[in-house]
Amino acid sequence: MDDQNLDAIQELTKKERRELKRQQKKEERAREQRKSSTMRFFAWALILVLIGGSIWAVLQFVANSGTDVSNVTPQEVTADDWITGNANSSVTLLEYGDFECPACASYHPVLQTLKSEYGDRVAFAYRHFPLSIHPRADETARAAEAAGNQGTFWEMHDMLFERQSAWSKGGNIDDILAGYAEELGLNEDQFRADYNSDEVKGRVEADERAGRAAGVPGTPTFFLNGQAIDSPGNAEEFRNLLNAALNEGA
Amino acid sequence: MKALSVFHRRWFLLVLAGLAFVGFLDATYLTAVHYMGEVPVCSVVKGCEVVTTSAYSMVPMPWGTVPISLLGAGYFITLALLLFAVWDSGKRILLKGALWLAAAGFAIALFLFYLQFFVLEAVCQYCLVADTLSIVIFALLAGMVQSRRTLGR
Repeated sequence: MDDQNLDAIQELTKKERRELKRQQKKEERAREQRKSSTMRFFAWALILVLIGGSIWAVLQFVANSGTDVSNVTPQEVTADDWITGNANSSVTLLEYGDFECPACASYHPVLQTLKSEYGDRVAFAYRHFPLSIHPRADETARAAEAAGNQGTFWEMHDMLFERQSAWSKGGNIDDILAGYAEELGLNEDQFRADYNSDEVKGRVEADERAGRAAGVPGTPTFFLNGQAIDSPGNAEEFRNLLNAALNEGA
Repeated sequence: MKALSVFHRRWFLLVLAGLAFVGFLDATYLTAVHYMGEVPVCSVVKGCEVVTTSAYSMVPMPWGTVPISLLGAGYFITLALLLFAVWDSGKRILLKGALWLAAAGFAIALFLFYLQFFVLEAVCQYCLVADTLSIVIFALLAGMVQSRRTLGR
């Protein structure tokens, strides 16, 4: 009977032990599952926060990365510059431009509007700043100078910006530009000679050197009454600046 | 038994997701410049404007024309999340989806490389980074899927 009792107790504890073990395992599994699902939740939350934060950071970066002109040395318009509008006006708007620069081309219609509205009151000047990233910027700058020798600088200037998408694509640039000169009714031989002359090359280089020395950060860069300004976003912002300058002088 | 390479490691999925995330940042930057750069400038130091203002930079979609960088950003973030989900769940179907998506990105990246070097003859560093990432991610992902197949997993 003693043996039997002992057996029964052992049986019971074995069963109990097994049950206990099973329970423990179950709990452990549940705990692990809870832990891993919390981990997963945090991992995904972290990823989403990371994505949101980085989008915000990129937007901030772009919003603050406008070209800074506060350190650009003032540039006065001189008699050597190409000037249109009222050359005698005390209010001057000088542009450092590159004929192959898409941004300059997109500003061109804005400036045309301003020239028609303020042509009697403001002196509009242009200087070359051919960027090395534009393979045809130097040639086109020389073409404008060569046309200028025959009195049609601004006509060639307008033509080059308006037809940028055509001549920047390809083809023999010398012939394309000579064709434009012909269209403007210029003496083609004279144009070609001037276009290749050291004098014209020197004028383009002089503009570029002046721009570099002043710290022009890119094109277009505008100087109002000699002072570099943040490029206005549209014609209206330009008008406000010009009106303010005109009122100041009056 | 064949030795296990990085291609067999689960954490390698996170590396790939990280690369895709870098691509996402890059494409987001280009998209932000497109929409927020209200004042266009040709900078002395950067040469992106030829590429990012070219006719090829805009893609007509059913809801309107969008810059290709926006599609790029969408592609990279989808790929990054998909790869993260594969790491998290280990589901083969997701891995397959990521591989197909990366294959599409690979093909488009090759085309964009061609456009920049042979058609526009102008390159934009930000675009090159995105295109290179697409190609690298696809190559690594393909390697990963292939080596899992040979292991029979």
